[in-house]
Amino acid sequence: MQAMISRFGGMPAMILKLVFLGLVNALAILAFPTMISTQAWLILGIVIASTIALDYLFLTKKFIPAKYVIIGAIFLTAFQIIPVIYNISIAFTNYSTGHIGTQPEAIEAIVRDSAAQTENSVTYDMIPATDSGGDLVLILTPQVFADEAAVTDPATTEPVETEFGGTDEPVETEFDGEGTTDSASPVPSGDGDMNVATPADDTSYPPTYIGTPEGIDEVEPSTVQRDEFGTVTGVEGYTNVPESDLASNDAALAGYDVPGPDGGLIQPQGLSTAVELEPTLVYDPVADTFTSLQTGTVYTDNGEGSYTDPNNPDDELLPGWRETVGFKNFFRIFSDPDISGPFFIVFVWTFVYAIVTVLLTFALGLGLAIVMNKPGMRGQRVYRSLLVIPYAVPAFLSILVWAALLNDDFGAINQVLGTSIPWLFDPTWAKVSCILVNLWLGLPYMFLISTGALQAIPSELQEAARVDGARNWQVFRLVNLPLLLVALTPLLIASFAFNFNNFNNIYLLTGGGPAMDGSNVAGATDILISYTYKVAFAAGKGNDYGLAAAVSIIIFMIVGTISAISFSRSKAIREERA
Amino acid sequence: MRRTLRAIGLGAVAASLGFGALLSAPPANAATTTIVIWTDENRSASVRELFANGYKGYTVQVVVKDFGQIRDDLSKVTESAAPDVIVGAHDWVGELAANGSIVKLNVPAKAVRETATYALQGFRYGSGIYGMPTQIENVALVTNASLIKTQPKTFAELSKMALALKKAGKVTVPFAVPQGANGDAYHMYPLFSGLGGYIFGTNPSGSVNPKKVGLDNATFRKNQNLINAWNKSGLINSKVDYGIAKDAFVAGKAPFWITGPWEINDTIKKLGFKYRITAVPTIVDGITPVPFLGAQGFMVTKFAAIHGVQIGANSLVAEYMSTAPAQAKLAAANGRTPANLIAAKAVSDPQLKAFGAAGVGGVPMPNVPQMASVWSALGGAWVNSTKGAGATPAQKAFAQAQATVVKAIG
Repeated sequence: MQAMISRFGGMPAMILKLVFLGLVNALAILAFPTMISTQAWLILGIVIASTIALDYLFLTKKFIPAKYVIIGAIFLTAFQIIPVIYNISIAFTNYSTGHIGTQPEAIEAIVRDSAAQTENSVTYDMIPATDSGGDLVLILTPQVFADEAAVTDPATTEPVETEFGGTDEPVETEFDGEGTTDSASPVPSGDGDMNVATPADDTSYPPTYIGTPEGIDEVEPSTVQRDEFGTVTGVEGYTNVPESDLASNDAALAGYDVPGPDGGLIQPQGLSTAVELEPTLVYDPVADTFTSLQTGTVYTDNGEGSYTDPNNPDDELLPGWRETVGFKNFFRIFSDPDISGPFFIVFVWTFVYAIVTVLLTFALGLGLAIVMNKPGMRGQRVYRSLLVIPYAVPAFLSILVWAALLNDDFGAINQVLGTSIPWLFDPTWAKVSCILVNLWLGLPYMFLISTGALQAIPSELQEAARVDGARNWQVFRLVNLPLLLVALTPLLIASFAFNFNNFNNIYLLTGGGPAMDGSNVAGATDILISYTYKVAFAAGKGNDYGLAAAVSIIIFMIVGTISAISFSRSKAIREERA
Repeated sequence: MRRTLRAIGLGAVAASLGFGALLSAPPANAATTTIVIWTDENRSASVRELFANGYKGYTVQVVVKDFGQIRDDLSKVTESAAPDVIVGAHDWVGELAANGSIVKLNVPAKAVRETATYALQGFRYGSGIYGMPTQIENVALVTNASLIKTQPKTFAELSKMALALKKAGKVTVPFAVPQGANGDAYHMYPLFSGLGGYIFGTNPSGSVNPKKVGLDNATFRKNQNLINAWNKSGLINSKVDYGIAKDAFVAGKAPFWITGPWEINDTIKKLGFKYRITAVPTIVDGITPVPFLGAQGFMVTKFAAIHGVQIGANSLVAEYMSTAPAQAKLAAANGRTPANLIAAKAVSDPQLKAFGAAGVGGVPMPNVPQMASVWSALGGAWVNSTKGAGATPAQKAFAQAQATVVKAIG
């Protein structure tokens, strides 16, 4: 090994190093345009400085220990520290449905979406064209429809009852007495263009206008060019924008406003339609308020990421934006009765669930490991392999299979046992089911680590104990168990932390159900993390990331505290013994 | 000195590698004439075919995503990778519009005339319409015609037939409507509406008013005893989930099944017995049971304007995808009824037509973001009131659901 390391140097190592550094530099440079365009100068500075520092570090012969430490530190930062900081920063914002962007984006969206058709607004067929001077104009013809009932909603037709054959029989179309055949109403053929009025003479055509930023001008009917259906195809003296040039005129069309006859602005709504629109809300950048043109209501920034009517805070303009709201999310957890009400029950069950799961799986796993550890046992490998099978099946699948097996009325388990235990629909039994399924899923892990730890205990210790007259139970309790616990305690703590947040098992098996009486959100088997998910994403007005982040911080603190206490206690045990 | 020189040389090499990578990277923020469409796997082939030659001088790039991912990714995507047009479900509209991610369309009058009104209403949020429906779907009652010789005219008749079959041991699930532990308010909706229940009232403009919650309205409350009776007789059982309902019906062990057109090609057309596809029969005199209507369609994102293809994207969605030929092509590919009425008339698949007929008078699924709380509360009320022994009386279960939703909406 030592030889290999010392031999791996010189040119190959140098090339490898250069390639890696080049990749790192490339990655950093790749991110520059985005950072420049979003004006993230601080981040840009950090990236440049750290990239140069990295290059320097790995190109000098100095700072040998730093070369090892820095890589670990980078990964720690990237995968642990940054997500945690990001999570914490979200917890203090109102990041949620309706509040995902910035304030300028929200203002833009409100202004954009407030444009509505004027009272007598007309939809125009539109042809983008250029005048003799090459300026963009719009050829506008009001859309007129001949027959209002030409297209019938099938919702007005009578339902039909048809009997269909099975796979190998032809489809039967026999109707019973009540049904009627499809009472189709007259439908124009073709693509529907036939609905457009096709009057006989020029005089009854709707007028055609040329729209410019100055306004609309009716054109002399004789100069209007039409196809065989009477649809306007152009106007003499104007050149239609060819299809190949439409795309390059997109921005010009998007900003093209023609003052309309109804006091609004005729604006292109596509490449062949324009509609007269007027804003319904006006933004005042000085006062930072929106005013409704219809009701006169003034909407002000409520300080929580929305424009609202101060007299009626529920009257909110959407979208809002992301805003720092301080400890509001944390206060909500404890002050909102919908959230705090079931919080304690859920909290207790989460502990019960995690602790019972760990203890049961460990006890059973260890027991089986001891049994299987008997030297000279026949078929030992087969038994061990069989016990590990649950570990090999993806948990997602096996949980869903368990959910089907445990179904109260149709599941295999009740049918085989001849019982009618409400496995998933009774609050208490559902809890039992969760623990049983988790036992099945977790057992192989505990069995494996116990087997490993058992084999690592020197057999001399056990022999010595026996020589001293200890019985089997005493050997186990006084020799094996303490030694096992020294090795396994960190794993048991990890297992506890894992099950404390074992979202998959709960969500896929019971979905947190059955519904808890008197609780709006939480079900009887919800643990904190699945409860968080429901509160944040399935119980209010869309997704509430801010609240979810706040709850997850609380969960993090609980698990962190418990783990820290357990670790320090187990250390104390070891030191005492030592 | 030599060492320093070497370090500088190496640094230069590394940096040049980096610049090489930079030059090979595509320039960001270049003005384009490309319209990017995000679509799901099912529709990707037909969308690609529709725009194989671009659209009116714009090039069209089709990106395939997992259906649900389209909605989730839209709020996270960076500007340069963002789509100009997305394919989505109408019940996303509330969330996406509230986020400002999609833009209001002023739908051309012709498209309004040719499109099923309820489908267009499904895409309405607040005062505007935020997408162009292209396909609609709803659940219907599928009946095993070899078990049920004459189609029941009322739900009471249906119940009698189903329970008689169950008593005779011929079927295991008398009425296969999926629920499961977390409920399924979507499939239960025909029963819910047939008893007089509704989710939200509407404003005079036709938009949904989430302040008027009807989960426990007076009419429905009057009829809730029927739910208790169904629970007692075992007609409706919340332990029947989607898989159980489907398996039982396919195996001939359930005379009635509530399901949607997505099962036509893979399941319904392969059934080994005769069947009928109808609406759920009348439960209470004077109230027609109707299903939820779901619509899928095309929406223009806020990024279209940023990318300089706003007008083209608008045109593609509102002027082109609203037409019968475009929708016929799309619908043919994945077994849904076109939202365009002319294209819908031309549908030849009899099963699909029967599903369409069963959706008559249906209610568009509300698209307001507050629906999240409704699904769990309403689904939960059904589960608790139809779980057999120990079930919560319907009166209590639905009153609680009503309270939950009213509170959540605030």
